[in-house]
Amino acid sequence: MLEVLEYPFDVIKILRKKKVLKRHLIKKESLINIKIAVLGATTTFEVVEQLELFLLKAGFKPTFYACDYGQHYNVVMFNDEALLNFKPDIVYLHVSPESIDELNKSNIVSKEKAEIELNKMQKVWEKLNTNFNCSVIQDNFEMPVVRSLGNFSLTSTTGSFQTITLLNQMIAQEANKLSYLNIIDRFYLSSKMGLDSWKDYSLWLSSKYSLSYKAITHLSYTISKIINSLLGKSKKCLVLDLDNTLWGGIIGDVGKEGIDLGRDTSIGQAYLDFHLYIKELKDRGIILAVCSKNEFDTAKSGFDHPDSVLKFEDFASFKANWDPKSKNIHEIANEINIGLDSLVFIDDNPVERDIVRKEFGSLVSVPEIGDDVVYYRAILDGADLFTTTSLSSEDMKRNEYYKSNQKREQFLSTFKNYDEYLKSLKMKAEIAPYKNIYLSRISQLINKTNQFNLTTKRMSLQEVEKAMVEKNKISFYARLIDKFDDNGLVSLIQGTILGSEVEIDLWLMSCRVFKRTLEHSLLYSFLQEAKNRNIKTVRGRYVPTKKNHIVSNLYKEMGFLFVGEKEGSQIFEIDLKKYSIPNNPNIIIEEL
Amino acid sequence: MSVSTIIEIFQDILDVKKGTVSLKTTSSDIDQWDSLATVNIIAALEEEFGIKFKLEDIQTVKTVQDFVELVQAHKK
Repeated sequence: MLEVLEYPFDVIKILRKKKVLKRHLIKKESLINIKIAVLGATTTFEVVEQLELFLLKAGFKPTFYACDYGQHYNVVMFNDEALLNFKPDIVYLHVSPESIDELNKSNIVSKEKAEIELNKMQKVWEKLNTNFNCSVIQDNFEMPVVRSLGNFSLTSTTGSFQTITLLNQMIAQEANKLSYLNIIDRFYLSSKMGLDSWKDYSLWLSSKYSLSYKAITHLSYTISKIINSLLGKSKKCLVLDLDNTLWGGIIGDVGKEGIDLGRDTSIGQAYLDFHLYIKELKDRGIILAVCSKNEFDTAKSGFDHPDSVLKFEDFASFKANWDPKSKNIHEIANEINIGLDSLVFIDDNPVERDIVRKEFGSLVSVPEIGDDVVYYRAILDGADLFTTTSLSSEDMKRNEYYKSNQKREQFLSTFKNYDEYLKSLKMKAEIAPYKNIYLSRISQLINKTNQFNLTTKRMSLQEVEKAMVEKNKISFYARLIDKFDDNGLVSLIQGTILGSEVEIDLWLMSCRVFKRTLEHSLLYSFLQEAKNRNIKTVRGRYVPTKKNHIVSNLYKEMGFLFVGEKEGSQIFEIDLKKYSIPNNPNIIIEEL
Repeated sequence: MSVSTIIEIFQDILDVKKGTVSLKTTSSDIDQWDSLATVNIIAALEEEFGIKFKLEDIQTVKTVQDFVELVQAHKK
């Protein structure tokens, strides 16, 4: 039933079964509460209903505030009380060409029209940010369907083409500047679907919907993906089958020379294009893995094919054996050290897809890619599973980190004991208060880290920015370098001072540097800073979740005393007067 | 096109038990049947049968029977 919500969607089923779907989805356990204000220039009723379904499916339980259509600016600028009391986590501004007042006036040039509209929006964004410190999501604009100037509307300096194009560019530039602003690319979505399907004029006349129902499904899905990304729930790893998925034919039967891949045949070209697309995903930080029923060496040889763009080294984990795929998927997640909910599984075989869906429920994403290579790329792309709202340089390097981890493991096996190994890594760390240049990485870590995370406190970029300048906060990041690699910024600790006490409200570390004793160094630096500020007591909290068991004993191990439980958290304390802060012999602290 | 499919569509969207909707049912019989539900029903019927209603026709329909006749007229 839930597959109707998988791209490319069963729109008719969604329209009919919304209520049943909702009843089914809302039963899911541990849904995350989230408050969303939907402010529409046009009717938003259906957008809210469908967005709710997509968010429920992704593990969120949204509550909505929606204004009357056309009131989207007023409720913000004139401080609507209901909106103020609602205190949204996220505001979505639903606009469309119909809401641009001057769009069709012939006595104003396009640039001026765009500036007038942008100016209005900027005021709303600013006000939202000041009032709620929340993330803002807004549509850009599709082209109007009718053009009284006809084809000349393209070149006319007062025409709609230039107005919309300029405005869309300006909005995109603003989104680059304002970390809290995220744009839904309605322009792209409408072009992809075609304006005639995207719009429904009679629906506009009867109900003031600026979109067709079918378009609303695609738009709501995209909004849900942006929200996923803002809250760190986008996918991270692509798990790929091989035969008839990455090349044509069964390599065990036809051998490396017999597989269909490359420009020589039209089908081979399609597989080649799929390779190129996957390589692009890898280059922007998506981790790749193989999960194939094959002999290991035979499977590996496929990537020696002269036309194979993907190489064996591109995969952070490579499972080719005869075990059930569900077992291999568990192992892939363990090996790479990421959650099952970060995985996307691609397989041309509907039986394998079905088994994986049954085994993992909605944890692992299994796009319905079919068995025709012609559509693999388009379906994976349309499913938009790896949506991001910003690309940090860390993303681009992620695959290298995991490869270096493999090297470290091989290196480890040559040592007698772990301490000796740690020393030989020649680790250096930079530990310092948060800096502006690291903001996007810091907020990414806060919102993505699940395992080594004591409180699983999530913070928007704006909240981090604010915490950075507050005098009663101690916030440190750690970067780690070893003989193999620069691991980048991988750990954070944050505390709030109240009188002579400080409470650690956030402490986390990326899984790629587990078991390297970096947590010792970071805590020691934090305690030293607390001591310098005449703090007497340091308090830590452990908030248990399904995923952070790994740190359940951390405070005890670090010498804190358990003082009791409060609202589901375990509280630990350390008396700084009686505690001499040790030195971590494994890591040298210096500016990097 | 079958009448039972149309009735099912009404039941799904209005979220009522089987047997609640008959050909004689109108919006005043069911609480959930407001103007937005009507729009949703129209969109679902259009998608299901691959048709497009005329705006003036939509404004005159009252009973489920009216919708059925409208779909039939388009399918001819």
